[in-house]
Amino acid sequence: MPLRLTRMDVEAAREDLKNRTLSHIGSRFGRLLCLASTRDYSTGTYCHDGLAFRFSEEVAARALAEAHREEFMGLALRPLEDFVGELELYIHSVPAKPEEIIRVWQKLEPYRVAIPIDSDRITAALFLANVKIALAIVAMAESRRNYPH
Amino acid sequence: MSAALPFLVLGLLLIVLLILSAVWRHRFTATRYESFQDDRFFAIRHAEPLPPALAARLFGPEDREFIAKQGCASLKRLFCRQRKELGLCWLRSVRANADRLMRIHNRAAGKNFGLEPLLELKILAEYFAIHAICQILALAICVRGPNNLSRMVAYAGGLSDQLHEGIKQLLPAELAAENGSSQVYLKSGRTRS
Repeated sequence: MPLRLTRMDVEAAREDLKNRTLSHIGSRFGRLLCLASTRDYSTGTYCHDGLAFRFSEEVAARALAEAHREEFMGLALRPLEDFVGELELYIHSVPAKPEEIIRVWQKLEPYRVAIPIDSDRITAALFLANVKIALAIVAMAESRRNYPH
Repeated sequence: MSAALPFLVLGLLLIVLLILSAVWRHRFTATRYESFQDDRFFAIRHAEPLPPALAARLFGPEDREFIAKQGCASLKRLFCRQRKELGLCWLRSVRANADRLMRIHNRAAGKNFGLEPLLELKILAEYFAIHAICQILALAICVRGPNNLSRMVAYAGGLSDQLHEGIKQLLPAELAAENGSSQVYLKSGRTRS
């Protein structure tokens, strides 16, 4: 008999995901990219071995998709000032030179993969526009920090 | 008795006609949207209102003030260009949603004999009001960007929601419930943050 996907299971999986994985990531950008990375680039399905082991593959996929959408909407619709702060926090949490990360992000635009597949077109466009602006602001701040005069 | 017979027959005939009319009206109302299986999906998926926070973010003053504080002309230009495009995109989406809803409604109304003229007029007035406001907003955005338009945008968004709700009310009960639950699910995933 096929297992039925219930709302309670998905909520429990989301709680588990939040407590065991997401709570250890300090920035919203970090959480968003972590959730986006659990999605298969070809099929768009979400996979998380630990979560699937504790619940089921289907429940885990649904929980990840919902958490991803929620994290994305929460970040994309934030005031630009907070958005820049979140990006700065993420860039400084990665063990690499900030200017190197900014250069790669501006060139390759890897943040595009952070958009959930079912997000509306305009919110997705706002997110991309905000990342470009935020990168320019963080780059200016980094340049002022490195070359004060 | 024989003099009253024609009146009795006429009365019975009228009762039968009234019953038939009621049954027909019920049948047409029930099937009003049933023949539009694809449109039903279309209505659920595409005529969904955009997140209210999106309009506030695009047309509000907060982000613009933050950019002005940075004191960088090229950044300001980039921001203005982006927000202008996004503002126009938002308007296009609101207009497209209204058009889709009206198309579905018109096709359904064409097969329905139990139309309520006042409700139809209200829907038509809301549809034209959305288009008129969108035209004014598009002109304002093209001339001076999406600045200080929050109130007018909120009004257009409110009208769009009203149109959506008005047309949804005409759905048969069981379909409305299905439509409603799908929307709640879609919305809950998006706005729970």
